[in-house]
Amino acid sequence: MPTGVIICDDSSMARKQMARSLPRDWDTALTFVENGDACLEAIRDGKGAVVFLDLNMPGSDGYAVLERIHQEELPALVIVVSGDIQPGAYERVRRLGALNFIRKPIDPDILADTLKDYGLYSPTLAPEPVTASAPAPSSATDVPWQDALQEIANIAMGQAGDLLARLLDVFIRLPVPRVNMLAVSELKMALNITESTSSWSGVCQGFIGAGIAGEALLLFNNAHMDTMAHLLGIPDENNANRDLESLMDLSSIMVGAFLRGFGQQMDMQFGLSHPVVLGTHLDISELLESSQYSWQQILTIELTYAIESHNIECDLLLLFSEDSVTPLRQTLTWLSNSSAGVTA
Amino acid sequence: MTESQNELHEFHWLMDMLQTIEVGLVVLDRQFNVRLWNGFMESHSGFSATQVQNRPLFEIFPDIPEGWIRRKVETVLTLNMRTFTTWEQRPHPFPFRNARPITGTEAYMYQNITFSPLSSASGEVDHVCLLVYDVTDSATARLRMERTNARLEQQSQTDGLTGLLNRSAWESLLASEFERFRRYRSVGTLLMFDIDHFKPINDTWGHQAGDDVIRAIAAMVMERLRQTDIAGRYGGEEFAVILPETDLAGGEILGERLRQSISSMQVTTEAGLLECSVSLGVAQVTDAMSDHQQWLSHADKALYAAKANGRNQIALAGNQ
Repeated sequence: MPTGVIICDDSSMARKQMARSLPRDWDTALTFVENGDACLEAIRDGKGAVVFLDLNMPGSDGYAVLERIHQEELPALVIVVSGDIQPGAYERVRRLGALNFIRKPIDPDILADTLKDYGLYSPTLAPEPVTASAPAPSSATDVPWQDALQEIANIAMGQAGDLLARLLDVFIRLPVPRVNMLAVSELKMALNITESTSSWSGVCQGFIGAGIAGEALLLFNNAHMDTMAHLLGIPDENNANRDLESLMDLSSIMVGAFLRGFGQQMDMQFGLSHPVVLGTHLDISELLESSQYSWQQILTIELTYAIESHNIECDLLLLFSEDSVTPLRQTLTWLSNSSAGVTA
Repeated sequence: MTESQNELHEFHWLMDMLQTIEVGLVVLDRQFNVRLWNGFMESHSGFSATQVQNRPLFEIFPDIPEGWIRRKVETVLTLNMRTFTTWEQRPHPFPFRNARPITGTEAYMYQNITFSPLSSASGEVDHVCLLVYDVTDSATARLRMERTNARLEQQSQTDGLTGLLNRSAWESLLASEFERFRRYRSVGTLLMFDIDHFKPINDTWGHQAGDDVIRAIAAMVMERLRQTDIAGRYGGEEFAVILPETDLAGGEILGERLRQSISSMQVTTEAGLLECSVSLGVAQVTDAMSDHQQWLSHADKALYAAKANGRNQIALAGNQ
């Protein structure tokens, strides 16, 4: 009898990759769901004894699903699959009753070993390939490139978040990255900064490689500058430059780590320009004022990192030039259709 | 040429370029000993590669920001991640002189630095590379622009003829002084005055002479006032002074002193020595006023009373 398996991820690319990474000789009946509520529904319907669960999803996220499974005592073995690889995330899901934690991008060998360890699967030479036993729904085979971009950004964000979490010794909340094509005017609104009284500081850094060029923009609310300087361990002696030091340290880590993870998944390496300080204590509306791209559509990835215990948020924006969209789309389409999936 | 010969050439070329590139290249080990020092570093520091080889960086440059560099290097080694610093953080980490010693406007070289991790053959990160960029030109251009903007900002607030605050700048300070009174019940007094019979001076001796008189009175105001007093040119021949932490009696003393100084001074103009006088109105801020405009109109009424009473005198608000 096939094992009921539920794959829960908001990204169709991630669902597809998950399905591909399962051992080929494992007899399963697959169910794909896009959000936490649908996942719980499927478990209650008895569709899955084994659940592969993403953590960062809009609406009910992975943590919420784990809590409900625990409360309702639902019969499901949950393996968390996430790009959020902070030590804190690992501890949290274990505490909430998850069986194990597998990091994205998924390594099929590690997955097979984990399944073997829990006695869920034993290798046979069964001829039945996974696709024959459970054809994936069409949404899982045809991945739009924006979705692939979002999933890659999600994983890279997790890697950058992990580095920052370890450095600052805090837990960092990672919402789902947003991918959009925006005009500059919309971009300002998307920055989602409603308090006109708060001032922001920014660092801007250009990146380029393999026909893809853009800028990474790190935005930080000045109200939290002192706390951040403290977390980063920047000494007090030099007060005038303390804000600047925090900002530059933060941007080196976040932009560097994100682009490294982002590039690795697409098998490319980005050259980084020297970062430019956009002027501390700057009104956010002035930021894009003098941009020459006011008429263009800009491909943006918005990432928000939140340090829960200190109530700090920082925004990382990746802006891609119009010229970059075509090569980026080609790479992503190729990636999401190649059987190997993304490489670690 | 065989392939290995070609590779040898390429290696040689690369080394040659790194030696002569206009970017400083330094390799440090975990103990901060210098392991590589290219031509740029040699030229600007005056130390040859052999002189610094295997010596701690902080011994070669005792004044270098040691704690700062240590912190950057530690982060790079721990995270295996590049880190960038700009001249805005530390203008001159290495004590290098301006590369253009004659025509350059700044004495020292502004530097951006990239700290990059270097791995050994075994893959272990054990060295750090410093790339030192000379950004003196862009830094000085940026600083000059900031100074210009600051001057323009200041110019837009001052009156060209007298150097006192212009009306709008002065009035916004009056508004904040009124706000301070409302919040903290601070005492404050306002002094307004204008030049007696100024129109005849202008008509008889010319505008040039009139301007000289205005300038001389402004100079006298600056001389007689205390550090915290705020003077502005309110109109053509009208002046206004905010006297913080001063009551009506204090304002009267200051105003009277100013009146005497002005009436006894002789102004040197193209038309010869001229004499002049001023009439003054003084008003202390009170609860009865709802905004700074009312404060202003109290002082103005007192000034009008001083004029009506025969000029070259001072009048207090509430006493006219």
